[in-house]
Amino acid sequence: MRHIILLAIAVATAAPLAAQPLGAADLDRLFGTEPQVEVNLRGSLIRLAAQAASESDPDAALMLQGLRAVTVRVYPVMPSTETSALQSLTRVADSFERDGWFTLVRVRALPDSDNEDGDVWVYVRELGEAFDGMAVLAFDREDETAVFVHIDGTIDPTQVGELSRRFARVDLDEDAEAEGDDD
Amino acid sequence: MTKLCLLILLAVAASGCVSTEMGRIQRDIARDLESEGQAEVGRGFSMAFGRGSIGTTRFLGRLVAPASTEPYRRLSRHVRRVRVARYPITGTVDASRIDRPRALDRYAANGWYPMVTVRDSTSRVWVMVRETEDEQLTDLLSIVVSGQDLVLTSVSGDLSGLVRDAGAMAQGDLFGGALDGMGVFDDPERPPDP
Repeated sequence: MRHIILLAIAVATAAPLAAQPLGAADLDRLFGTEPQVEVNLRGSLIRLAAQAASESDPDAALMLQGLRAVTVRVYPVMPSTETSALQSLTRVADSFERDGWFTLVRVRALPDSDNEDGDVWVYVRELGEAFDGMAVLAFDREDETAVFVHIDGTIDPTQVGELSRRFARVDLDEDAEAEGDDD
Repeated sequence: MTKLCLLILLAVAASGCVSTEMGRIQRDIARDLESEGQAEVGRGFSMAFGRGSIGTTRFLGRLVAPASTEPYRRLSRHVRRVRVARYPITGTVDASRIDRPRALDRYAANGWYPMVTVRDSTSRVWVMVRETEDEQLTDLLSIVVSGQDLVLTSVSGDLSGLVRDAGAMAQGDLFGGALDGMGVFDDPERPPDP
């Protein structure tokens, strides 16, 4: 009986752990502070937003309908803590890679580059032709923030740019253009 | 006479509920703000509206100005209870020093979760919500320390219905754009896609 209970607990806890390699408390510990902004969206509000957009923007409604949860954390970064914040984000990125997530985008801000937008990582968890989860990590020197976004749900590959823009304020198209200009 | 006494007792009891719940949160925040000795939370007010008072205002609105009160009457149908408290803050406020009120632990234990929190030197915000198993939003508590005010708001009812109707009425400008920053509702200032 004890084994069954232990197994039930293990199964119950496995799903949320598998959904995201790091929990909110782990992130707070890594950055050594509470987030400046924290957003946790679950089913109800996402469903409502999808309904609200169904007439005016059917594409956005379709995109939101597939989502189960959205977690956003924005941590303040002072010039004196830039190095440790970047190290923390790299550690978070490593944990996604260890967990089998696929690196879709990686932008590195070079020290002598005019691009002051900072570092960006976009990870996705593949599920057939679609993605079953997405994470955006961004280090913005100009805004002095480190951003962590985790989106749980079914995501069409064409929606990655739009989701990055909406929830992480990261414009992947702009980054790609800037990279093209550098070339 | 007995009925009148009961009514008065109920009114007193109801206002007590507001002051106990809101007061606990207000005391937690006041303690943090006043610990530096540069700010003080003053005596404010708190109000509670239940089904009865909301229904009465709906009835009166329909009677006096049916057209102009239609949006309010339509939205208030979804609301079961509203509690509002506002306290003035004097002095210099460093909102980043305010810790999460301990009273929120009790909310978390009862199935509430933080939808939004914001912490910077000028403002501190907590928005806690609770939803049913079938993903219907039923309760919302917001705590806002901003500028010279501490404002606490609690709303209960069919909040999913409220948001749906508000969204339909706002036609893309839901809650004056207050939720745009969350990314769920699209930003009206965003330039249209080419």
